[in-house]
Amino acid sequence: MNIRRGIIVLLTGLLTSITLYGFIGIKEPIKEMNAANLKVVEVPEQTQSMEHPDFIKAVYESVLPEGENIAMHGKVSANSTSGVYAPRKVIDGNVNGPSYWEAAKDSYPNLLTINLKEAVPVHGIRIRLCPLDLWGKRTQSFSVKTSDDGEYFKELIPLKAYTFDPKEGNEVILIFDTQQTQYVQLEFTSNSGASGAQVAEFEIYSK
Amino acid sequence: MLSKKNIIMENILIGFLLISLIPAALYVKNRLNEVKDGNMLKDAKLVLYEGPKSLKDAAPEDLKSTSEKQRDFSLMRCTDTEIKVNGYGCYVYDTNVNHTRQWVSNFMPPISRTPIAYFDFEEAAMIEITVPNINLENVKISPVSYGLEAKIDKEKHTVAFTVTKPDQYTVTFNDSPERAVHIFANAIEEDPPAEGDENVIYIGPGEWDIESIILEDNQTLYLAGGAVLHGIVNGNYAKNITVRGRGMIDGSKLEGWKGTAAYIPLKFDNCENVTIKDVIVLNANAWVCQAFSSKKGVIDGIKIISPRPNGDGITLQSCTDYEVKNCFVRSWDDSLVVKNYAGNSQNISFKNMQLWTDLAQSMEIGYETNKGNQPNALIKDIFFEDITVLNNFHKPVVSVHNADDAMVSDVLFKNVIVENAQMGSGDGDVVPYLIDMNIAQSSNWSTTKERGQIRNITVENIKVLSGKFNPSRIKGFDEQHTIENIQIKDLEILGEKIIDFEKGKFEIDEKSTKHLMIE
Repeated sequence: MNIRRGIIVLLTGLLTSITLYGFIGIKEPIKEMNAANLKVVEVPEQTQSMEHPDFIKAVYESVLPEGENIAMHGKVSANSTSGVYAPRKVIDGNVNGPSYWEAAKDSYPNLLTINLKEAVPVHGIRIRLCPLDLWGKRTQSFSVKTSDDGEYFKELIPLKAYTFDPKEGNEVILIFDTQQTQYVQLEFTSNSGASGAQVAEFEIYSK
Repeated sequence: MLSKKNIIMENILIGFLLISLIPAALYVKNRLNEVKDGNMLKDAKLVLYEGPKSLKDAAPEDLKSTSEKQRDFSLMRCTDTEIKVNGYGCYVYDTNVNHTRQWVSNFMPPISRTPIAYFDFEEAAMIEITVPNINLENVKISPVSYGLEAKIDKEKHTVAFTVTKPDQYTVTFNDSPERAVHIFANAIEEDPPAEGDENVIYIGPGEWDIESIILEDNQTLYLAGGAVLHGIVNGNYAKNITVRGRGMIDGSKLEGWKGTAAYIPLKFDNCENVTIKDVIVLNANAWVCQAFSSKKGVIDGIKIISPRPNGDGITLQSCTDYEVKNCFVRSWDDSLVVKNYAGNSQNISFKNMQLWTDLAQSMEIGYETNKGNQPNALIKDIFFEDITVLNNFHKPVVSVHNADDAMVSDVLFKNVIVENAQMGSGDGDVVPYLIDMNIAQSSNWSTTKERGQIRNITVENIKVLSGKFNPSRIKGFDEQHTIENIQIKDLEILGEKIIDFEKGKFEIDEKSTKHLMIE
């Protein structure tokens, strides 16, 4: 027997073995996964996007001090400002977007003062931030002072921490005995939501 | 003695037998592979998530490439692509992507759509994609480094492949980015919180409108698989907060920001210990995931697809000790960004990331390096490792830019695979570089009057697999504001090993650079 015939026998044997192994020796492959290992997370029946029940806000209505907000006719100043958030924005009637005052970073105490141009009787203030949830709940500590000359300020309401919560209009309303004053000043010492005091609107009420 | 004729016959027979062995061996190999796949299938576990029933079915008119004003921009159910996993139908979403390769000044670029799907699995997932409207000529499964084999059935318009590693996979048809399918194949979720758990805000499956969720100290937002949340999730001066889950945050109901009102879906400013894990974020109205002046953060496994102007993927601004890993970012602006808007940036790592950059840069430091005008500003110890760039269509893949006065130093780019390098497309031709290191003064980005420095940048093991062989640039500002100590190692572009700057088409400004090395 020559070498070629030997190779032919060998190749024939190899081919037969491979073919037989392929058709008979290999078990039938599994084509489906075990259904018990499948989990399908179902969604609720919805025909449209829905407000999530846990986030539906209760209706909040401000109880404003009596009278009229006279701050808008006054002149506002602050002892510091951060970027574009200038003090004039607290009397522009707009609480949304970038329309707020923010004091310079870590520069307490932060003073925000409104000059009413003449001494008038005032009995309440409202400090507002943007009421959207985006403006998360925060605490600001401040006192309220008044002055006749813009130089000497006397304390009207002592320093206290106030919570600004979007669920409650993101505002703080303070009512006090009627004061005759030309200047009303807020002196901030902390804000848990920024590195300086923030006020979107500063309203002063007079009857 | 054998006749010549017999010898010829025997040789022919040997040839025939040898040739016959090939299909037989292939048959056996295929059968064994099928058995192997089948064995994996036997032990496979699979979690599929239904999509919200309220999502609209995408119609042909919804797939038009046009501005968001000209068609319905909402997230939809995909109708032209079917996906089966281990034989079971997987919900396919149709979301917005942007193939425009230039800035559009009215903020209204034409926007297209693409299919995405997600599921969880263990052991193996045999994925079959059917695309009746596409004649399949060739298919690429990314990351290509995984060497996944696609079985294509042209008649049935199907592509099938098996994955065994939880990861993100992208299937590209006929070398076109159009209708590429993104598949987020997650591991089975471990220890998900339950509804009612203390300090957990639980958003279950379904389509939900929420204006915004502002997380407070120690809170977790859990977004369950099957949930689509229209709204934003932010934190401000908060500690120990977590956002996690398989669900989606979708911004398609918001108008694009047009340079004024940005609602950032994941925004954590002045925070500490923030973990963001796994969630999918689509259709942001501006950029997507921001941390500002925050420290000790982990961003792990999130998936971002952003189609709108200024749609940066993950932007860390003046942050320290941040770990970003295992994420997928497809963005219509820089995919990964580190810059200084207030204080310094230090010790930030990006690891095992997949990027698809439709516009701007894949990995960007700067340009703003001291927008807060702080003394001695620095950006230091920034690491990008094991990054796969599926496509980079516009500006550089690797950028270290300094347009302010900071010292930018100790930056590593290591093990970066660029599957398709198309820098310079559209108006990206102004900076068509693969690697760009530049100190600049820019009317767009500079805040400080003084210029800064760049030091100690290592670019190691970068491979460009296909696309363009574009130049790179190393250019300081002047002799006082320089780029020094740059090491480029193991750079390979289109199969060519780059061992000198000239061969790598480096544009080097001699007077503003020192100690540059390539090997």
